[in-house]
Amino acid sequence: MKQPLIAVEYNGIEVDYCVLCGGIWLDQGELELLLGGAAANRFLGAMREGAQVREQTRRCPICRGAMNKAQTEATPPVLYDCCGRGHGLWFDRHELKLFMQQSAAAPGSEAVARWLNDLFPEETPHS
Amino acid sequence: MIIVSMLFLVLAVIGGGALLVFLWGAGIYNGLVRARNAVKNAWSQIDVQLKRRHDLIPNLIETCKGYMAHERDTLENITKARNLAMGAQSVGEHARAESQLGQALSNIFAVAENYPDLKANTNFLALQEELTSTENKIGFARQAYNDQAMHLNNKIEMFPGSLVAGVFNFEAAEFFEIEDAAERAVPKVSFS
Amino acid sequence: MWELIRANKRRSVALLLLMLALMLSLGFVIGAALFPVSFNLNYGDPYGRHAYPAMDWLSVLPGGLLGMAVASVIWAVQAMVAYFRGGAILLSLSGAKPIEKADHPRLFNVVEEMTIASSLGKMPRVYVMDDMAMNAFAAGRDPDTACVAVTAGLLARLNRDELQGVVAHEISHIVNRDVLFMTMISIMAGTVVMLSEVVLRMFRHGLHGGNARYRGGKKGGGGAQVIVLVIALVFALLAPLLAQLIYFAVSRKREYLADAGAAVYTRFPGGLAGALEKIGADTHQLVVSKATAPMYIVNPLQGARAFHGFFATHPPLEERIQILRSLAGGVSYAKYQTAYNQVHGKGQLIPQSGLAVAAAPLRAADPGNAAQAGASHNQFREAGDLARNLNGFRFLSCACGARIKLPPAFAMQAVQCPRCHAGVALSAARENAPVTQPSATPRTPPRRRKPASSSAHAPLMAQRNAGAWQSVQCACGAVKNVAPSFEMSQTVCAQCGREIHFM
Repeated sequence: MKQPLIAVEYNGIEVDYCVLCGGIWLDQGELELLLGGAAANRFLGAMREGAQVREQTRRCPICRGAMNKAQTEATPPVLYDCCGRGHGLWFDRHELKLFMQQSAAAPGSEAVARWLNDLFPEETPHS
Repeated sequence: MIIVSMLFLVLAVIGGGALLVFLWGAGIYNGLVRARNAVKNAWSQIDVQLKRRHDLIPNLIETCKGYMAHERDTLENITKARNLAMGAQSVGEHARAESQLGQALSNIFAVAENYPDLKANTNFLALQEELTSTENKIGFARQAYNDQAMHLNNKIEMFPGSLVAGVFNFEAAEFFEIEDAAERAVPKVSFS
Repeated sequence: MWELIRANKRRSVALLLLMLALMLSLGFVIGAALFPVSFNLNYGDPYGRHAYPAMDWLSVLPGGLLGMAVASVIWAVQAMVAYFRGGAILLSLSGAKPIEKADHPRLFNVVEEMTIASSLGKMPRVYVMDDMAMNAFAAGRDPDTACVAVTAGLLARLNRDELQGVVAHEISHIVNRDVLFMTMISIMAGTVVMLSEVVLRMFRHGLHGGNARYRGGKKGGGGAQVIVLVIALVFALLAPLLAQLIYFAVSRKREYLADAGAAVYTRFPGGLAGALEKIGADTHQLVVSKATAPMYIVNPLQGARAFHGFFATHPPLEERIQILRSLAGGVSYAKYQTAYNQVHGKGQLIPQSGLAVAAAPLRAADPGNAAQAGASHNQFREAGDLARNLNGFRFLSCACGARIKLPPAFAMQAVQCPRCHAGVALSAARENAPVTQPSATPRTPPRRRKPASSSAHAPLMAQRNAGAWQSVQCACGAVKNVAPSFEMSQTVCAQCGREIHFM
């Protein structure tokens, strides 16, 4: 059974969250808000779209269109989904945390990683 | 018979003309009254906003007190300025007191910069918004008053309004003069 | 200022008449082409009309008049609907919802400021659209029925001066009676387009043979009839173009005028210029707020696109910005006119009578703008929460500090805090809470008190969480959302009218 996403706010930052699977949705522009514009752009520039992986296709919560798979260039690559119409990004459980750890160079990512650790304390990424 | 009907016609023409002149004059008179009421209205709007500022100050003092133990003087200055403004008698006295109050307020918001806890207080933030807006409203209300006063004065001075205004003693409205530069730049409330 | 409004009205009437003439002549030509009536004076002569060609021209009259009548009725019906219900229709189509002062004090204050600055007399009602794109509109036929609506996206990204500029632009539309005028003009243009469409379809139909039965076996008609048909075709092709040209030109001019009004009212043209720059640079145009996103039903793309159609009627943003930015050392309609001529070229934008008013000194920028730029994240979240409130979200607070916002479609009864895994429930207003009167006496009595029901029951008590949106569930089951800046110590349940006191 499906459930709409809920929003979780902690210490003044919020994300959309799925209570069933623990995934996180970032609206377009939210990654920029979290990381600061330039860092987010560099980050999104580095990603490779159209990764060939066997993972179930996800649908964008806004337009219901099938989302594209994308992954980071780091190892292990973080696989995430992005809406082809630019509505936002979907991270499965733990993926956003990994994502932030890998982008440690970006200003703001450390704070976000800390914030994520604080919001989801017992979930340690299995990397 | 012809003379009688001629007379009648002349009387009718004069009567009709007089009626037209009367209606025309009444229209101008009504326009003048409307303009004068608009001026009064605009003036009372300034008063409403000044009163609003007075009303907000006790709340502000109450909120700041707990955080600003070392700023007793600043807080007292505001209370003093407020009491002065509320008790002012003449127009000049009034203007001076209000300007003083504005400066005292800008002072406290400048000092608040040093109190991060106070700046995070939601009550304080709400008051900040209200006071900024009230300062703005005072400024806009003064401008609107001057616009209305200009409108009335133009009507009184220019023909044909000048005829009617002379008969019915319409007085030109005084402009809201902003004397010193400090007052001109509506007391700054610094919120950075 | 008043001379300006009057001159504007005169110009509006002239343009309406022009449009009316266009519409009626189109109606005439179409009617004449579709319903020819022959005045056959030559009984027994089957070629009567050819014998008296002059009579053919008379034959267009009845049809033409009928066409004019039909066009007028189509227009009049729409115009009446627009006049009496236009504001309501626009508001409901856009999804705008009314807000109270506590919901967004800053927006309310800014609208109030601009009401004072423009001497409007009555403050327009304030609406917010749950949309993360940046846009705003004014509705209502006159100042008494006027509303100002802004999107949550606008509230999320603009600083105080910029918001003031946008609101001043909309208030300026209200002062100039642009809303009513533009609606009437657009309905006329719409009628013209509609009528032309009918004609063109008939022609296509006719060319393909179609339903010859209903044409009564008449073939072609006389020479005059052919000419009328050709005129009708040309008219049907050209009229909509002409109507739209008039409409766009008028609309663009009104936008400049509203910009000029905004500069004069705010005495700070930089505010509106900054807002237009942000709107122009906005890449979020297709994004709809996350508040609607979880509802899974709406197609946000469609809504967003329809909205941007309005922008086609606006002059280029860069030009508007450039004009505003070049206003220096005071603002007045005359200065705006000069700047307009410098940037745009020739053209009288503002009627001569409006140029006489002296320039007002510029206002200083709001000192809070720098702080706003630093706290853009908070502002974004606040606007998002406001949009959520309009959409019936419920706001829950966990003891661990996490705040949870549930969409109305969320079906689960209990929710687990993602942070501490404790169950979080809706804050309930209870009857048997300690019956202590709230320490702070209410500053103002609640606005919508229903005396009958509130005296029937004892007031309910609820815990108040400061600094955030909070949902309180009344004993009747209804949920009431309370804004963070809601100052009063009590509220009233919207469904059963019971008082809810906060502890």
